[in-house]
Amino acid sequence: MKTLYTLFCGACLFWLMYAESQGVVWWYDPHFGPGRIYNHNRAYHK
Amino acid sequence: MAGRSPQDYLKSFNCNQCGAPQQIRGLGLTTTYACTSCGTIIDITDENYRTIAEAQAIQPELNMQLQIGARCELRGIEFEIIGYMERKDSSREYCWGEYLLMNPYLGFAWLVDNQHHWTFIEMIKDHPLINGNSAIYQDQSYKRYLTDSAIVSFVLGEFYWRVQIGDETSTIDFVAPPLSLSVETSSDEVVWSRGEYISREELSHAFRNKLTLERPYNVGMNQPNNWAGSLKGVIIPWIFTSIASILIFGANSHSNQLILNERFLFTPPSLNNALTTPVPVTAPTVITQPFQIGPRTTNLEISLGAPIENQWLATDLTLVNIATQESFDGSAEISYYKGIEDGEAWSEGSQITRTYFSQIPPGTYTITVEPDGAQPEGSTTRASIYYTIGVVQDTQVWGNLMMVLFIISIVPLTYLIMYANFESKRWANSDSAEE
Repeated sequence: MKTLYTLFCGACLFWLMYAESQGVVWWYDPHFGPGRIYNHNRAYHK
Repeated sequence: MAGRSPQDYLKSFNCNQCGAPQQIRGLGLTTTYACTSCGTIIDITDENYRTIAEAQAIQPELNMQLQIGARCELRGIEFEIIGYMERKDSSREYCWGEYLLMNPYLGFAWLVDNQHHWTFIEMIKDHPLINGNSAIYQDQSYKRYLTDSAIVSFVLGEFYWRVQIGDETSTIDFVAPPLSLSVETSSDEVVWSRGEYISREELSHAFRNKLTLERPYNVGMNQPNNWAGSLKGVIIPWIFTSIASILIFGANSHSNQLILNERFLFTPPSLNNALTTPVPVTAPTVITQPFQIGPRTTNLEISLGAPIENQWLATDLTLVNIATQESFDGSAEISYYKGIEDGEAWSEGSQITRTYFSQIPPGTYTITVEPDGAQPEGSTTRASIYYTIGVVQDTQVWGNLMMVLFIISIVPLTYLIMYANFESKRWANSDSAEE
């Protein structure tokens, strides 16, 4: 488990380096996050 | 004891009461014998095997998992089980079993079965130092666990003292898992003993794998908390990764360059019934001035701001690369409401919001803005508002770092919760404050 966790931590570090160099905003990114967030409130207001 | 062979400690006799053949295994070392057939307690130092107490009408309350006469090797020493005793706490509801072990050359030890958690116990001659709620023995600090009484409720086999049903001693237990210290005080002596937790597997191995031991239940007083080892295993990678993440995040310089700040006019359609002629207004789509993104793939922070009050404004945003016509969709909405209720002013929402575009390749872009909104609540006239679209490229986004820190913390946090839960169960039966 320790080895797996260490590998996972390493993968997270590499991802962070990639994200920082490529301008990733993960929660707006269709590859990493839930995708772009559309204005779901608009229907409510209408 | 030197000079005697193991056979010198053996002697057979028949019980005074039931006549069943009995075998003394610790002749010369033990003084009391409880018949394995009827439970009559016999003085074996008396040449006529005088009866000390009549046959016990009671049966063992616990399932004896070890048999008298069984041999085992613990801590490199060969032992034979010569006696079994059950004791209860002061409430007389909680019961545990104690097996007396004997090595004819090295003396006695105990195997204690407490909810099928096993502890190997040896008596110690030194008296540990008691300091408040802790005891110190051989540079090891033990925490006070329980102060209670132990009352003998059942005996079987040989003992080195005059054991009787109902014998009561006051006890104090201290723990430093997997170790424990116990002091038993009776009217004529104080006895200290030191114990060490033994796993089922280790105990089974000690009996040459001839045992099928029942699974322990609850958490043993001195049971090692294995979650501590798991936690220690991941804490160093967690610390390293956390620090490295923060350094990586901090080392990346971000230009936070404002590349567009443009204002547009918008007349929201009215939702107010007070207007006599509600005019459906098709939202005027506008296109921003071209702006340059680069020199490398980056993120964009789009801000939408307007001096709205008691109304909302929403925009669909389409970022379009002029050269390739590649487009990226997004949206932004603001709403701001305020008023006075029960004499107190209140407000909610905001007049500015930000949204982000991820991984936008370099190039020249425009944003197509499609606004929508409503007139202020309660207004009787249609009013236009100015709203501002701002674009900042290569902005620092804390969310990536936060996500990495959160994800790598899940495993250590889970272990920490399991560790704390284990300790909570351990100390639930203690009369001392939890560690």
